[in-house]
Amino acid sequence: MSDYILDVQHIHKRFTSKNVCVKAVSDVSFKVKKGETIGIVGESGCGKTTLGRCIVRGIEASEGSVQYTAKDGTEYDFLKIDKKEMKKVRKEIQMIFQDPYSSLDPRMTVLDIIEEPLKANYPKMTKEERNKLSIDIAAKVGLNTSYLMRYPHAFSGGQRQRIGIARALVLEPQVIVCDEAVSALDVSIQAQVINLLVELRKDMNLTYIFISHDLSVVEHISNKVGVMYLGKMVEFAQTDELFQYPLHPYTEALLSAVPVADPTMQVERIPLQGEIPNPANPPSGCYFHERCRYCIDKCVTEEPRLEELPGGRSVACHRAKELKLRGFAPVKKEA
Amino acid sequence: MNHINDTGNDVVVDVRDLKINIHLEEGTLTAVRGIDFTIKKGETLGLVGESGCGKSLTSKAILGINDRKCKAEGEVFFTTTTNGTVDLFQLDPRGKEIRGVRGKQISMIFQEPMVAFSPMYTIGNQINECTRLHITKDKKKSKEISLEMMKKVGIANAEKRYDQYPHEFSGGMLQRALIAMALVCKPKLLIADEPTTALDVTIQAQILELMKELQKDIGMAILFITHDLGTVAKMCDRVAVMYLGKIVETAPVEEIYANPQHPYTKGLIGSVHKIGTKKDKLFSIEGTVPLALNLPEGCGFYERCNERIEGLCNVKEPLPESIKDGHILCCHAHRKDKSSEGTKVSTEPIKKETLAKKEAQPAEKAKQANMEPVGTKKAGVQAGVTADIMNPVLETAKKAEGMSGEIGTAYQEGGKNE
Repeated sequence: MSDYILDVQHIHKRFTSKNVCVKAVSDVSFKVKKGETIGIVGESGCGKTTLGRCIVRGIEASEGSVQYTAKDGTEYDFLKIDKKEMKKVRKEIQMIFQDPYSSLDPRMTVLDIIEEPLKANYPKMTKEERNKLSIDIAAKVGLNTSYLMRYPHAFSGGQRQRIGIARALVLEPQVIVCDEAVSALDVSIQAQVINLLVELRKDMNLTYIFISHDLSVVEHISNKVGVMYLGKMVEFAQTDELFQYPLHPYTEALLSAVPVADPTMQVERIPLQGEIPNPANPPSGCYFHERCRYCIDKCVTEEPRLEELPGGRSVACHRAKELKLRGFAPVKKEA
Repeated sequence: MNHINDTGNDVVVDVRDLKINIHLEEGTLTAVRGIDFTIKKGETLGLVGESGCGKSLTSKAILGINDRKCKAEGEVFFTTTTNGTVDLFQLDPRGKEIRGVRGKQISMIFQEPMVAFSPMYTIGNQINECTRLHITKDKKKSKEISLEMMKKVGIANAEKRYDQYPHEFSGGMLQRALIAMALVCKPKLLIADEPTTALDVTIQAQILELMKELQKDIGMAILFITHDLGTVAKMCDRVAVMYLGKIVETAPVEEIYANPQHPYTKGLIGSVHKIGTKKDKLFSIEGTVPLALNLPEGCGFYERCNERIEGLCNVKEPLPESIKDGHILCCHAHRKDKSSEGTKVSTEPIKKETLAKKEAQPAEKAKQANMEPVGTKKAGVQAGVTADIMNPVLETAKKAEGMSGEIGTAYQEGGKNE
C-alpha cells in the first residue's frame, strides 16, 4: 500500500473543435497524502477547474492516471476503472462546487438533495435510514434540521454552500475536491465555511484538493500548494515555503499582487506584461517567457520541465536555481 | 437626525438621511435605513459590507437608476459644474438636468464587465456614446477622445480594439474598457461598484493602480463599493462600514484597521486571513445578515454581536457619535467601556450585571430573560405590532435550535421531515 491516497500522474486534457486544439491541462502530476490539503492556484483560464473535474472524472481526461487507494486498501486507477468498480469507488471521491446558487436543484427539497447520493449508491437502503443519515450530516455542517423540507431558494449563500458540503459528505468520502468552494461568499461567511471545512477535515479524516484563486484562503487551509499557469503546473511546494521563497517567477508575481488587508503595509508589485496567452496557440518554449522579467534565450526555445528539487519541491523554470525571488513580504509604507 | 456630515467647500457629494424602501408583497423592505456621508474632491470613500446590506442600492440611488420598486428618500447634494449644488432627488429622474449629470459628472463602473456591455455594439461605439452625448457632436472628434481614453487605461492596440465586440475582449480588458467609458467625460464623482470582484489578483492589482492614477489626473472623488477588505486598504482614504442598511462606523482607513470599534467592523477585519500568520481558526461572525423585513427594535447587529448588552442594544437604536477626529461610531457597547465620565459610573454596573446574567443562567432562562425586557419596553414605546410579536418568538426559537441566520424566511413550521 502506498503512502499516498491520490497519485495524479501526467494528466492531459485537450478540447478539440473543428481545427483548434486547446490544451486545457497538460502534463500535471502531484501526489496527495491522506489527511493533506492541496491548494491549486492560478489565474482564471489556467485549467484549475478542468484539472479538478478530471480528477473526479466529471470529464474524462485525455491522458494520464489517478492512482487512488480506497478505504479497503486496494489501489485503483480511478480514470480507467469500469462501471462496476466505479460504483464502489465513486462514493469515496466527491466534489463541492463553486456556485452555491446553480449547483442545487431548485425543484428538490434540501433533504432530497442531501439524500440523493445515498439513493444512487445504496439502492437497498430504506427511507428511514437515508433520512437519518442525511439529518445527521446536515446537523454536522450546521444546518438547522427543521428547515430541511424547504427548497434551496429559501437559503442564503453560506447556507447553500453548507448544503453542498452536506451532499458531498453524506457518502463518507475520503477525498473532496473543492472547486472555488468559498469564492462566491462574503468574507465573514467565507470564514464560517472555511472553519467548517477545517473542522470536518479533522473529524472525518478528509483529504481536500482545494482549488481557488484566492491566495490568502489557500494559504490558510492548505499544506501544499500547486501553482498553475496555462494548463501546466509551474511550481509545487509546501505552503509556507512557497509563500516565503517562491522559485518560479510567476509565483513571485502572483504573490506580489495579493492585496494586503492593512493600509500601513504595502507590497511592491511586480508587473506582468500583457495578458495570459491564448491556450489554443501557446507561446514557444516556456509558456510564461513573454511575461517574465527574468527571461533568457533558452526560455524562448526550450520548454522547462517540472523538476523535483531536494526537499520535496518541484518547479518548472530553467533559472530556478540561480534566481533569488521575493516571497510574500509586505513592508511598511513610507509616510 | 443629528448632522455629522462635513460641509466644506470641496465636498463633491453630500448624502443626507438616505432611505430606500422596496415594496414587496410581504411588506416593505427597508434596504437602506437613513445613511449620511460626504465625499470630498480627490477622496476615495470605501463603502464596505456584506451582500444584502444595501451598498449597491445606495450607489444606484445617487444616480437615480434604481429599479422602480425601490423608493428612495432623503437628500443627495451634488456640486455640479454648471448649476452649483443641487439635490439630485429633486430632479426629474427622466429629465434633462439629471441626464446632464449622469455619465458626465457622475459615472459608474459596474461589477461585471461582461454584463455591463451590450454584446450588440462595438466597444468603441459604446464608449463613444458618452462623448457624443456630453462632449461633442462631431463624430471624428468624439472618436479621437474615446481612443485617447482607451490608450490611457492601457488597452493596447486601441485602434483595432475600437471596432471589436465585447466577446473579443478578456475580462480584464473589458473592465479597462468599462473604466474608459466611465472616465471619458472626466467625471467629478466615480462610483465603482465592486469593480474588481470578478477579476484575478494580478489583473485586480493593475486595475486598482490604474484607477488611482487616473484619480490623480482628473482629481475626481471615488465612491468605492466592495466587500474585499484587502482592496479597501489599498484604495481608500476613508471607510464607511455598512450593516443592514446603516452605516455603523466611519473612519480614516488607517484608523479603521488599527482601531476598529464596532463589533461588526472588528469581525470583518478579523475574518480576513493574513498571509504568514498561522491560525487554526479564522474569526467569524456567526449567522447571516437578516432580511430587512420587519426589523427588530434596537441595533440591527444585535443578533450576531458578541459584545451586545441585553436590555440596551435590543431596545434602543444606537445613534452615530463622533468618538475621535473623523471616527464616527454607532454602537452602545463602545460607550459602556470607555468614554465620557458621566456615563461611565452609571453604566459599568449594568455591564457587569448582564455579564453575570449570561454566565449564570442556563439557556432556557436566558431566553425568557431575553424576551421580557423586549416585550415590556417595546409596549411602552408603542413599536410596530408585528415586530413586537415576531421577534422574541423567532429569537427564542433560533436559540433553541442553536442555529444561525434565515430570519426572513423563518416560518416556524419546519421539521415535518420524519
